[in-house]
Amino acid sequence: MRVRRSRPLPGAVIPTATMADIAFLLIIFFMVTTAYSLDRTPMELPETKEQEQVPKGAAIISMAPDGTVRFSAGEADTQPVADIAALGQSIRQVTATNSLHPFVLKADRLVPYRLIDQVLEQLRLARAQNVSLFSIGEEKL
Amino acid sequence: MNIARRDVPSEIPTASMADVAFLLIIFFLVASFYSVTRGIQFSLPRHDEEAFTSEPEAAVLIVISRDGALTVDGRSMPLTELIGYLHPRVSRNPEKSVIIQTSMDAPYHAMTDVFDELRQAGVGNVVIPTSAEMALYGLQEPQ
Repeated sequence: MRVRRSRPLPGAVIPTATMADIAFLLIIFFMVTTAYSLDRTPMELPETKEQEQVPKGAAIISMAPDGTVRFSAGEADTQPVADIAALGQSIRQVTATNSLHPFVLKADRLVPYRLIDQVLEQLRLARAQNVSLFSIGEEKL
Repeated sequence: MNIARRDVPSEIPTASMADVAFLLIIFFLVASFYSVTRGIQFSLPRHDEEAFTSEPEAAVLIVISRDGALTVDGRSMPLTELIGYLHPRVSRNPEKSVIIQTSMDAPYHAMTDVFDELRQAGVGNVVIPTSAEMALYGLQEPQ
């Protein structure tokens, strides 16, 4: 028996309008959570099992394997500093307005401790109270 | 004159919008993986005279030599045994001071490795004197 179609079938349309809504929602989420690094010096960070989130807007002191020191107060990209005294002055400028301003030390794992010691001394003299060390997560056994 | 009316579909094409949006999502996803925003909270060396002048048994002294070898309270000790050594002492006295003295020629990771172990052992009172502080208190710089 032949069945006659009385009406033509409607066109098969996939509703994609809501997909864009979801996608833009995800974009906003990633935009808000993504923190851009202010320092892009290539280096191998030390590994630590204990890790905490470093606060956003922290001042960055970067120490490359060749001993180059760069500094950023947390707003612009890091800039090289002439010497440790100049770094100390930059640190004091930050702590003068807010002694609780977070500082982050980003140093290559093979940097001699002498350089770290000099930077820590400048942070201590400037009375910086909130200091973190950038590290790569190591799996806990 | 009669002009024939054509039916123009009143639909906004949104398929490509989703493509653009997903492209942006992938960008932010990748960007978020490449930014290092985690680290270890560090206690700055501070002028804690009690830690320096306390009785020898009251504080644990860890000396890191230039090759990264550890000497804990005068005894040579591998890094793996550090937690086992510290844990009972910190359990008895949570305020126990641990002083880390690092050789100036040691690599940075030698200090962070020890510091990480101390954090895992639950040591809250870590003192890392700078060379200027060590000179101030008459302590010798480790070799």
